[in-house]
Amino acid sequence: MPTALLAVVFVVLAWVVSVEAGAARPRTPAEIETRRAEVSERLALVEHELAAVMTLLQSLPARLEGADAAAAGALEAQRRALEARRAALAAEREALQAEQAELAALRTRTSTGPLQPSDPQGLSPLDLGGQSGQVSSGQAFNPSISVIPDVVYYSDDVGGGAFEIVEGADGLGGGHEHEGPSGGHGHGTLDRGFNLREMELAFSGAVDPYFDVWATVALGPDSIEAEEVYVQTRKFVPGLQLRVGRFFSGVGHVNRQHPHQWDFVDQALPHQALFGGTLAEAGVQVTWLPNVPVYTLLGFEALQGENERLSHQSGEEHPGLFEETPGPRLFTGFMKVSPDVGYSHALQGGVSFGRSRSHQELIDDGQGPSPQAFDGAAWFIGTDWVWRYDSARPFGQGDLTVQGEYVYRKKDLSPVTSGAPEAGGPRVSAQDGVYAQAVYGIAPRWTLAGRFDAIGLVNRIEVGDVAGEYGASHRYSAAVAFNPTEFSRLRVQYNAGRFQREGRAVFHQVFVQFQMSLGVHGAHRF
Amino acid sequence: MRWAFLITALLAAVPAAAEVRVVATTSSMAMLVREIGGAAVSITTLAPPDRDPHYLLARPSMMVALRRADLLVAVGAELEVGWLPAAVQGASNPKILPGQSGYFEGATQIELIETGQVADRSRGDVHPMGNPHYYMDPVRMATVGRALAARLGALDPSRKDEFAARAAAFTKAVDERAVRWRQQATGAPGVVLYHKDANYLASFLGIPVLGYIEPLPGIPPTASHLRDLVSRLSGTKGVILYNTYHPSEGPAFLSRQLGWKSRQLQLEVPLEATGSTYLDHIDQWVQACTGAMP
Repeated sequence: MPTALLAVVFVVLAWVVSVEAGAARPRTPAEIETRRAEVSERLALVEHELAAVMTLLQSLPARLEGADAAAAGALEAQRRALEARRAALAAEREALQAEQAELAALRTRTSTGPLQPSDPQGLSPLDLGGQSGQVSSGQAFNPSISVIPDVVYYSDDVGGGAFEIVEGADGLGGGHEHEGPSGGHGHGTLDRGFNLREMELAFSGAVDPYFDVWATVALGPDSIEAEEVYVQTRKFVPGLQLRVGRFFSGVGHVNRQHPHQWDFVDQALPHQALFGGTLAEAGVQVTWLPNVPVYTLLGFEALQGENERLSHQSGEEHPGLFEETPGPRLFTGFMKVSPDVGYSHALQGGVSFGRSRSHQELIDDGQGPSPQAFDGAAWFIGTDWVWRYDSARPFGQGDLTVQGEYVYRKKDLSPVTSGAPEAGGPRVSAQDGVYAQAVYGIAPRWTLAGRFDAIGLVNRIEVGDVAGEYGASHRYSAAVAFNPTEFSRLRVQYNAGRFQREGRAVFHQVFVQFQMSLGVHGAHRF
Repeated sequence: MRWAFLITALLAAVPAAAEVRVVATTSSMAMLVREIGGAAVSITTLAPPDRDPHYLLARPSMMVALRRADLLVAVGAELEVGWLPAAVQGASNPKILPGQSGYFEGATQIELIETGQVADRSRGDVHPMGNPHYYMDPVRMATVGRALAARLGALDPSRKDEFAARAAAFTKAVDERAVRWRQQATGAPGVVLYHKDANYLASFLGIPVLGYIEPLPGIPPTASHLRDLVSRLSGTKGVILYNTYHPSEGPAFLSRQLGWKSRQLQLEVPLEATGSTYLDHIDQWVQACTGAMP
């Protein structure tokens, strides 16, 4: 009994397998194209041979006339063989023609190109008579596009108020806290918990033989900001580059980096306190790389001057009090020098300078009867140093980067007499900021980073002949980052702040950051 | 008078018939420039041979070299995409932009293998335009050398014939040794590579590539991938080859498990290599591929 059952199972299985093997498998477009070529090639051969056979057959009657009996017998045999061959060839031709017609009905091309294996087979569109598509490069002229989401989990021990402390450090509070809660736009302010800090959309490409365009748009939870949109010359005078648009100023080292290039979740304090974040302005930049053996880059910028800490214009908010100075209001210059120190090291030092010809502030320091309007000049000077070591070990292990910057800013403001009730003396403030950081590849794909930054080491505000000295604020940061590839990053960061804000303010912050770079993103400069 | 003297002295300091200033991205390309250009060219190499040319930093000194260059010789096929465009952009030298006579990409002079892969980074650091490591194929390098001779000849027409003759001599030297290399490789069981960087050599020799230590291009080996390799290859024969900038743990594990020889070799020729150094370098790889090397 079990034997019979086994036999039945075997027979059923054999049948299934044979059906499976015999089933007509849908052919891929490539296979169809190949078969088409084979069929037409074979058809040509068959027709050629058939023509030859027909010619021979037609010549036979003439040859039979003058032949003797033996030769006639041989010719008759040849005739029969030829007839048989003719019939076989005719049959094959018929079969091939039928297959050709069948293949012609199969669709192997779409309007935009050959049918791909993933395209549906069964759908046979109406025969329009020839193709209805167009010869087109389609989207091939699109610029390089990349999407960089930046998700941060954040927590602190001061009820989410750490950013407020950083913003409002004594003497460095931006000078216009009165203009609305937290200035209207929080510079990288995060809520406790999860934040989509920003999603950077970057586009770049060549416009024509003469210009490149770079555009970076930052999409926040409820904002869209053109971080950088500029045109840059491709081939101008050798060594000279011209940039027009809105861009990150070339002063210092980190200023021109986008948040995804930073070695920490947040920006260093000098930039946050003295520039209110990255110095990004509309304007024009000229850089010159002279043809000398040591890398020397000289740059000059004429910028519109809308930075709230350097060239703020209050005319729109208080039309009676202030008169707007036409742009460009902010001019900067910078120089970077980098000697060649071999394949394993890179060293770069730089100095920068910037001067705004008009900076306006409405200050209510509780001393006068009402807020007082000030206008004047502001300038800054800075220096930046970077040393990088490339260990040549796999996945960045042993690589070390040490960098630091110092910025000193001075504002020289005078009271605006027109419209102000009673003018006091001039208001001169001098402040500075510094940071030093190191990033080390502790293991393949893992980096450990440490940073110390401080603001207000010089922190003096003189109003008339009354001088006020404020204390310095410090912050210590440590970050561990895991970079699975160069396109993705996971980072954990801890900050400890010792700030001067109406007394001493201490805070601790924790960040967990997920940063990805999707798509084609241009290579970063040093 | 003193000024006139100074200017004369400065002018005298500038070489009269200037040599062609070439910047090569890797030492293999520099070798080719040296072999074809001889004394008529000066060469700066951007990437030292012990670094992975996929990942480099666009150092300012690269920009200095590119700023002064008459010709940039790159491997191409997006091998240097992570740093070369930034360096070229920073150099602001209109002569060496892609499309100009001062830009020479070896990959465009030859046919690449492994083209048409899906451009999907979930498959690792893929090169959809083809495998860029053709500098491990001496025959293709000879072809690139002949194209380079034509380009150098266009930049310095007075030495055109000299460059062509040197390229022909290099081709001849390659052809002579190619026969012996292929003979040596006959019957070699196959190689396991760390990365897809010796595939051109394997295909030139007709040796099968049995597997890769990396699970995906640019991704470090995982334990499960290595176990898969061991179970797939156990009982068969072959050798394991990896580069000086690759970690040795994966190859060592595989070597122990399979009982195969593993060899760590430099992928790039030394900085000052000439054509004969390169041929010896390939010879070393051929010996290693066939397992002839201790």
